[in-house]
Amino acid sequence: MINIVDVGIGNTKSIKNWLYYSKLDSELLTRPDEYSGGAIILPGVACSANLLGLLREKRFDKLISSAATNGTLIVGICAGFQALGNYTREGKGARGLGLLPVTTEKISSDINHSIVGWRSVEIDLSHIDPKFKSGFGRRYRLKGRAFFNHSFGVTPEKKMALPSSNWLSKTGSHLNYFIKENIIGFQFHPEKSAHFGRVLAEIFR
Amino acid sequence: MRVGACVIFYKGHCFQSFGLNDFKFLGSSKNVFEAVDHHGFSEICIIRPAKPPLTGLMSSHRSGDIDSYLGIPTILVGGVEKSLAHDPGILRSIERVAFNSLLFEPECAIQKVVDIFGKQAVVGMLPFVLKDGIYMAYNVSSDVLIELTSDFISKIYSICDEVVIHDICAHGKSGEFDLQFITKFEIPVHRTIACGGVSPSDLKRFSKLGFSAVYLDNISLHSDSVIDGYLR
Amino acid sequence: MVTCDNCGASTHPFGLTFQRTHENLLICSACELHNNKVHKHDWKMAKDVLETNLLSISGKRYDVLVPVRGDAEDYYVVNYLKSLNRSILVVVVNNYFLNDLAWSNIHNLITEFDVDSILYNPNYISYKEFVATSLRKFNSIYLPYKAILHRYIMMLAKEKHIPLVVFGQCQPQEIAGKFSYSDNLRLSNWWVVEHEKNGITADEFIGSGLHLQSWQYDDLKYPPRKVVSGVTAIFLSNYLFWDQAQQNKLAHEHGYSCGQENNAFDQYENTGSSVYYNFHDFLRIQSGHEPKLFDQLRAEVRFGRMTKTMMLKLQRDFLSAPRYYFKNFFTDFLGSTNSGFDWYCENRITNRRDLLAESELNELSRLAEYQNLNEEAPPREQFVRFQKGI
Repeated sequence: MINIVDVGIGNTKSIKNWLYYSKLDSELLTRPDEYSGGAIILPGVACSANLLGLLREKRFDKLISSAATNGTLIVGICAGFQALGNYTREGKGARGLGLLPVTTEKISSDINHSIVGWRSVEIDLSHIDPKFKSGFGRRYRLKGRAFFNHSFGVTPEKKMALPSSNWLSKTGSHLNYFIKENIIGFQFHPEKSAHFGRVLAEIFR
Repeated sequence: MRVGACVIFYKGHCFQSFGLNDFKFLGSSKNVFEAVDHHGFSEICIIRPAKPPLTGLMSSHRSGDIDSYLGIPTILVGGVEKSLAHDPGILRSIERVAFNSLLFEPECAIQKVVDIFGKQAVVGMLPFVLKDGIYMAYNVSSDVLIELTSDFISKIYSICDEVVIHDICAHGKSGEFDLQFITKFEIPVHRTIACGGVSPSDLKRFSKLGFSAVYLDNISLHSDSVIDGYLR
Repeated sequence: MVTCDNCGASTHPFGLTFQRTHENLLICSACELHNNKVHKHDWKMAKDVLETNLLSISGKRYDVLVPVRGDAEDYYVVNYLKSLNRSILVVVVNNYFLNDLAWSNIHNLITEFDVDSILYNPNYISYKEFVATSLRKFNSIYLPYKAILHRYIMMLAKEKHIPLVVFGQCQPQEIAGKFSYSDNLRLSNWWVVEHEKNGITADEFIGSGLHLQSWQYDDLKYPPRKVVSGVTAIFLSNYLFWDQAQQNKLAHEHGYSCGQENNAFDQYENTGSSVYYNFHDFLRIQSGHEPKLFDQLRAEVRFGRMTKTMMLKLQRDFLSAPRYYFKNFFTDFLGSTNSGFDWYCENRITNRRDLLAESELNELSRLAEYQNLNEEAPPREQFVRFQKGI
């Protein structure tokens, strides 16, 4: 069972529909004590600071941390990705869940207000925990067009040798995605990325 | 430049419109949404009209809903505030929300929405008409036309991530979007979505002008190959 | 419930919208579009666009593909295209519902206009399965035919490098006023799903007790855009002033024989079908819609050839007597037993049982005054299967 964390914000129904279309069972997790195992998804379409506040208020932070330690697949989408990091500067700022070595900051004001649109994405599957790769068969790289909509971007805390595919082409210094074994963050919206998104759903197979 | 489809939604069905006064039944929203996805549009703008069409719907008409699966982002226009208050569930399948009446309120009124959805998801909806040589903005909820000023335009661009500039009179008429509006008010096109009267043959031109997106209205369903060759 | 002050329509399967006129009359989208057709639209320009842009394109061997079913409309379309010297391929997709009149008219069409033709017979066994399932699940017997027809003609046009497929009437536009005449309508997957298949997809047939292989369901799926790119399917009524009832009568000049349908007003439209004005029409009523005859009467009212009062009287008369006898569909086509047919009537017919006739309608319950039926016409042979050499 795939669990979509529902704290009252985020496009949880879109994610549920996306998984349903890919013939994957999922349910909305409104309380931590309802959790009975399975992957966890943190939704997007939210202010990441606000999302973190609600996660802590409803005590999801402990659940997610312990699940991550146990090797459960944790996927953060957009604001969910940002919440998995160490800190976010969105809104009034908030401490993240600390599961990924990244921070969230405002994208440079030199460019558009926010990044909105479809961009080519290439995902290197080599860093994923092998037990989550079976849905992709022999593929080690996924390529496609994905939908982005964010005004805050994620940067790694320390200098990391990441392949070029990790980086958002628009800024060159913010991440498209980040994979750390069983914890994955997507800055784009796979649930709204048409065909590429439907391919990505295989990660939950 | 993104190319989206704009449809009018009412009671589970989609309608096409000419000038936002004259409505014609298009079909089940489920079929329309699937078609828009398959045709290769970047996103879909769903308008819930303040003055809904008068229609003879039957139980045999297969209806859909806004929260059915759609593989592309959805932007919802119309009654968002009401939904936030009474039916917030419907907004859990929406990626961006567009406001019209809030644009005429003090700036702080929109902050609540920004806190929930994030700034990037908040879009302004500015329907306009040219009346007696003067450009007027249409406040949908109070059904009033207000003369447009540069100050007002600056205000809405400061509070919204992007703004949909909707030429109401040209809606449903191919190739009649009033570009003079853009030049008159020095609209920042890189944060503007043009809607109403944009035709597929205009796409290159609008892209060259630097628009962030355009929405095709009725024409998006008239053929499978409306935007063939365009990369999402 | 809203009702059109002009034609009395309140709803339609294709969907109706209403608006108020300056005289404070409430008119439906069909009447509004008709008004536009007669008084506003520039038909000369539309015809120029059709003949200059669309019909001037040439294919390898054939320029246009015309799907036909033995109607007078087919004669009109082929005659028009012939007058423009287009090279035509006529295609018949057999729905196994045609009667001997339809086959006679098809053969006459091919001979009279000297056009090449292709007849496609879908696999009879799987087709019957689809029809039975469609009847059980969706209360329709035409869905499989519509699905197969549109897939086949688009794939055939692509295979034979025919750039244009031409239909006659755009029914959603002419009957329900959908779209406007300035919309350049093309056949598309959405169109077929919405208007021909009632929103039902091929996947909904799967797992319904049908013992068919998955590849056999492909016949029901509209081909992907990339597969049929380069083929455009248009509707002539989008470009030419269309008066179906009047145009159809011109087919007599080319040897067309019209039908003798008790339940039809227009004897030139679909009267070559064993089921269209019978079981299919009754299923429309079961789904809460009106009989086909009502559409035809409303068209007469819009063209000013009939008053609304007379139309309402004919509608009342039509629904006040037994109209439909369709046992032969079950016995001759589906291969059902008498008890099977009785079971269906008892358990699946939910309303208007009073319209069921005990036997074939040989007399009356007719609208003879308007229909000009030929009293001496021989009874038709129904469900005629056609195969080469037989």
